Amino acid sequence: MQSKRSFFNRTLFRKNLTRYWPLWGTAALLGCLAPLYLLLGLLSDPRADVSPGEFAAGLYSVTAEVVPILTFFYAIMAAMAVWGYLFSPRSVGLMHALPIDRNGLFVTGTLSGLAMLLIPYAVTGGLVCLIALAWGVLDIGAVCVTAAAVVFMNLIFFGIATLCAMCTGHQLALPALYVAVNFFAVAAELLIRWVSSGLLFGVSQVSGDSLLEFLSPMSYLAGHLNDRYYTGEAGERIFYLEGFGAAALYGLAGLVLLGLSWALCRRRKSERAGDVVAFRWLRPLFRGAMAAIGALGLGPLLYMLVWESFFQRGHYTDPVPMASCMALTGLVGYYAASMLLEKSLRVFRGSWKGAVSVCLAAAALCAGLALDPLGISSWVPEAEDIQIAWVYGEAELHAGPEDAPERKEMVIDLHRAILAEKDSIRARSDRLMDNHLWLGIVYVLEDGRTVQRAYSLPMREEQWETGESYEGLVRDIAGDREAMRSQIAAPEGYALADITAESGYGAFYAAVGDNPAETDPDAPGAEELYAALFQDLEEGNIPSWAPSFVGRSSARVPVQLELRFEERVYHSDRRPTAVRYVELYESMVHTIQTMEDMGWGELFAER
Amino acid sequence: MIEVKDLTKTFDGFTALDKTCVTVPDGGVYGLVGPNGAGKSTLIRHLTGIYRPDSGQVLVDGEPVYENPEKKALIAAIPDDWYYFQSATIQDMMKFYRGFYPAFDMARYEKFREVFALPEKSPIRRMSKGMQKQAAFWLTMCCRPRYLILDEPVDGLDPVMRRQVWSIMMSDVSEHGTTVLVSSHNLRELEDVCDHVGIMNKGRVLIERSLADLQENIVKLQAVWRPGEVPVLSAPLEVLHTSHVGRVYTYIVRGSTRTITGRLEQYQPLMLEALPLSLEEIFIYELGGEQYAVKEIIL
Repeated sequence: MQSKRSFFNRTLFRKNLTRYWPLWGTAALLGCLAPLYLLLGLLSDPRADVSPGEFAAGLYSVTAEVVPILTFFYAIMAAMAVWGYLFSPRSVGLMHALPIDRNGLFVTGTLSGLAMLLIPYAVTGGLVCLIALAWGVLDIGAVCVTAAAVVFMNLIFFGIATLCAMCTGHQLALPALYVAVNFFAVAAELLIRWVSSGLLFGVSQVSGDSLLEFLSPMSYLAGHLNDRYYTGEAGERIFYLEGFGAAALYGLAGLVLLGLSWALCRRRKSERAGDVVAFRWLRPLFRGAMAAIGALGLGPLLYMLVWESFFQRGHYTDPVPMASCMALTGLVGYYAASMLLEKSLRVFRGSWKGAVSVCLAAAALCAGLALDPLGISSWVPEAEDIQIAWVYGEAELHAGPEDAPERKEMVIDLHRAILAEKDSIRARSDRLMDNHLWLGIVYVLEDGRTVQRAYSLPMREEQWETGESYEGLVRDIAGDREAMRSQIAAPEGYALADITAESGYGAFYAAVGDNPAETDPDAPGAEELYAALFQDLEEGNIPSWAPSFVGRSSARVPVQLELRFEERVYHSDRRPTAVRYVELYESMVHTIQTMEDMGWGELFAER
Repeated sequence: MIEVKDLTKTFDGFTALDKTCVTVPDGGVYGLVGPNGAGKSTLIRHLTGIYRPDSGQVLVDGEPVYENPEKKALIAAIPDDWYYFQSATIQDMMKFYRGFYPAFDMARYEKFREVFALPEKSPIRRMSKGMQKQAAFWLTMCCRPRYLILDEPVDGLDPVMRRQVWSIMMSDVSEHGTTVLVSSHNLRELEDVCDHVGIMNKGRVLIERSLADLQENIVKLQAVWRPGEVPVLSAPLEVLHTSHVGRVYTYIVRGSTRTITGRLEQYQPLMLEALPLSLEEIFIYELGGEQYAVKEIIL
């Protein structure tokens, strides 16, 4: 029985749970497979030495890798269940005619939804804890952290789903809106970067860190929630959940979103059931968002299909055709939104203001990127602001805090030289031209930001030798012994793990510590091969990169070495690796000789 | 008492209710009639607290009904398209209603089991439209509402069940003082049960009176005149409709029977007779003045 002005109705709560028991029941049943798997694993190997630390690591691993994805999907299903009555005039008529106010309906619905979400986790977690207790490996701290992280993730995803449910009046629009809200910011940023990469000189598609990733909890948690460990004073591994703070903040944001949803629920009109958008003031926003999705998502595709394939000269986007394509596809999005809102195809009369706004926005975006009034493409950081400068591509140069300051200056000089000839480079960026060098420049700034640029540089024969233009600076970097060393050296904190050599005649593999030639116990191994590479480097036997009109100083041998490095001290079960590739040249006599001594001579059958 | 004062409601620019005023006295049956699209269902959704008024007031016992659970607990409604949960049985819905309505009467529920004879444990969605309507009545009447609001209540019921349902409602009205507001196009049926009538058109209530007053205020007269001496009836007589078959002229005139008969007798008809007017005729002739008349279409 409902008390007066109660915020909670037991009948409705019970009805929600009993109506949708297949949803949480199936989830709980599937969740039970995890403790079953754990139990069978422990029973099949009674001597297995499981520690509380490993139990904690297992909990954190599942929390980081499985829970965000499961909750993302499960939250929208729970929201569709508890808020489903809002989407049909008949059901909303029943619920809103009952002697309970909107506050009671909202609070009861929210608690029902969260209960549906958390019951399967509670069942699964409870069984896992019982097994851990039986084996004496229960780590109460890890259980609490995991439970809290699970609650936080459920709060944020259910909060977003509930907010979406309050903003729409259509059952099918809810999941679409939920996905859009979860990924709109990241997708929009990615698409703007994609468009920018064609219009802004040197700005690559992956220029630096994502600024808006935090607006997509799914994407952020997938990238930042990890199981880690550090070594304690007694040498034991102490596991922790990296990103727990972020999950807690998301949980808080989830509560805020639920509060916002509550406010919307109170203002929402029952007659909006069946409408795509539940509030009039959301209509322009919906039209704008659909126009943006059309312009940014489909505009560049249309440009690639029509203009880039047949008319574009060079690597850079032509702003006017791009703006036209974006305006056209933006209008498609705008009118599609209007048709959904009006539930009619007759939406064109009197819509010229909105249509003109979409066209102007597309033109403004393309003009803004092409003209670059903020000077984004021409900005070069000062040396004192740079922590690490790095050139990569055919020529590589790494300048970290431990390197001489002149090396950073080399990167900055090259960057400035490229920018000084910006117009000339763009004019000569015809895709059919030979002797182009693709070069990337990365700055890690003192404030932690990462700035990334990428250029396709046409190489001029007459400039290659002078050293005054960017070609000369590229030549200096390509021939720099230290830069070449960095191309084969292990990254900081990493150690060589194995080497694979491959040619058209086969492939050979040698791991550090193994003897690849089983018949000869004194044959060299991966360490010796790696040392031979360095010997060739010291003796100047590795030819530096040069454009085709100059050519390298030695003929290429069609063999490629893959050097795989592993992190020395790692903090999770997945050991990070890095890979470097080295092409062989006739002049690399020590390397070639060592490979033959290892019994890998077959690779050189063509010589 | 239910009072609606200057209630206005618009949907995307369309005015469904335009400063509507309704007064439903306690302990009676109020018939709400009007053409399709007049705003009856919109008004009912306001009375049950589903819709929020744009302006004006919807009061039950002097208090606004919107977002007022205490007042809504006194009201039970059967809409034209009654909603039940997808796989719910009558028993499931009974438990649901019982959890919300403090006055839910289980003894009555048991008693009505014999009256309605419906399969309690079968999903309602598998029942016919008429059976679903019976289920709605069964559950709604068990809520023991002080105010019963019905939208096309007996639509889909067979004649026996119609009579049964009306009988239950009438006994609630007489024994418990239940107030019933019923919207229907079956004016013949309403005429038998209503004591008050409100006629709506284009979002407004045109006339709201007791049925007796309404019938007293409009007269149907048949007169026979001498050949060539048919008078032209003009002010102060307010003639709503005139027709004739041969020499027999039929007039629908606003006013009391006595007054109108007295005035027509001055024209010395050969024969003059006042006839009772049905609710349907009142509805048709009153709305005829509102440009809602039966069009004479020649095919």
